[in-house]
Amino acid sequence: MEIDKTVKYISKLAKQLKNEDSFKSNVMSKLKSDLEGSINFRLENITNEQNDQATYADLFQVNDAAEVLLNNSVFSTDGSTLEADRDLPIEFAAINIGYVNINYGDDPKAEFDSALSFYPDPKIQEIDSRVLSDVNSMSALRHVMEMEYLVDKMETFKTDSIKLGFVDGNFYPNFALSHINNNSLKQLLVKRLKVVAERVMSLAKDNTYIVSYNSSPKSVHITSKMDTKISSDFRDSEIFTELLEDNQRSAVFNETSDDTDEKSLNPISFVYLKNSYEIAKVEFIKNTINKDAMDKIHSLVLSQVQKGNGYPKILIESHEQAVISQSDRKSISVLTERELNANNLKYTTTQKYQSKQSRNI
Amino acid sequence: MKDNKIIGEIIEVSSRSAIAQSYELYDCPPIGSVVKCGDDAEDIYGVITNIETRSIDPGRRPNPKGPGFAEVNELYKSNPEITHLMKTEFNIVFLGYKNENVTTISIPPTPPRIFSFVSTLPEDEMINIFSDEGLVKFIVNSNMELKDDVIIMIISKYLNSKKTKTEEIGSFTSQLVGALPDQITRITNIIQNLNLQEK
Repeated sequence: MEIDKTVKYISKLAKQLKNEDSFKSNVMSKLKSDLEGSINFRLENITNEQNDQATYADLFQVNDAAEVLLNNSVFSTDGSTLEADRDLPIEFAAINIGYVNINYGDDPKAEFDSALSFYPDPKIQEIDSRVLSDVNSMSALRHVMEMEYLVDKMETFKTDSIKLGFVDGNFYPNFALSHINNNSLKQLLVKRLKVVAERVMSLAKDNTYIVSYNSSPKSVHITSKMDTKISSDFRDSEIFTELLEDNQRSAVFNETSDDTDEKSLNPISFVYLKNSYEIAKVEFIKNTINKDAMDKIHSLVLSQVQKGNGYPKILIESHEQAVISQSDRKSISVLTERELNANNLKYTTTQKYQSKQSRNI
Repeated sequence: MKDNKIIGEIIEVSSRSAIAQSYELYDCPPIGSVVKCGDDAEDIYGVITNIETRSIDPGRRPNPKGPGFAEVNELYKSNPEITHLMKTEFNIVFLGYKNENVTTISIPPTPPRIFSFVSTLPEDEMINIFSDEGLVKFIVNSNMELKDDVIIMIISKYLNSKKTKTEEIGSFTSQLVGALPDQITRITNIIQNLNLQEK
């Protein structure tokens, strides 16, 4: 590869970005006064905490966290997929869900667990061999499984202190869902999400909450509804970096989705939260978390971010628990080959694969 | 630590030594302790020569959790996941084995199997091993790490289990003289550094 050519290309992009940054800084420097100048500007299709039409005025609302909570329990799940190998005569995929619970306070302890599932699964007809190689289908399935496993675990956990479950990224796998072509699978996943959402709502009545945490999100949910003179291609996170002080969070906003399938799911609310490292978007099912609870959740999120040096510790650990490592993948490949050969199914990898491994001159 | 308690399993083994991992973080007898590597066929004895605690994942090095803690216990309490993410491993150098009730000071003819249990040693078995005059010579001639420190710790541990020590010290000194001829400074150093406690 021509490194010089690559360096020149990257350098050009960096200069372009610098120019954009300078333009953005200029807009940002007068953001507050511009917003104040049209305080009643409506943010279409977004409602505020009171379920009223959101306006620029809501962008100025800031909230602080509750005081540090000594006793609390945090939970998280994350998933990893072993994609189907098209070179193998048997086609299968695996999803590993990692789970971690950490309890702080008077009885400090932790629990680590994981659950491995293989597909195709005769019990789930919708997941056939075509689904296994579709990234969006597998991603949405994995997200649903993460949420189900998290709820399973949190439902059985008994404690009087506040319990907070973290999902990585968005609360619903909207992007992946909207890109699934297999309609029966899509319907199945939406159905399962609805069931899990009902369980999340039920848990919320018992001091047990589930939120999703999105680090430096690229979301333009609010800026896309703003006056183009002010927003000009900004992300929501850039606006809130300006409007929030460290450790503050925004008002609650409610999403309304245009997508038909997502619309049938319980609506999502979100807040932006500025920690001392970055802006994060915290999503939850609408009306499951009131202001008092959110103040406490805010405090727990900040504490987790502190423990994780910028990212919630519980999410870091559940990710580590979920990961199917390169060495695991290699072992699975060797085991598959061994099992096929043991069953007299003479099998070797494709010549293309073998040539990439040997790389002879 | 309670005698005969299974504390871990062997995770790597060769003819002369093994590496074991304890079930609980830090739950490992001190260096110089004699342990038993249980196998169905025979008991194999070894001495702990090194203890290591590190991340369970070689790709994840621990980062400091402070500042801000007054005590290490407070740090552990604030980060309860630590005990799940770290492991304690210890090296065992084989000293001997027991077959059909006969104890032999030597490397075992075949090393214990992977995942063999490692347990602490009851006092009567420890006395039995130490009564063998070949033990000191075997240790001195082995290629274990921290050899003299281990000799000091192993003899101290044994002597501290006895009520009277004077006679025993004499016996060990004689064994050391036999094992380390012309190395009077080294022997003196070992004897002077024994950490003996009154019982």
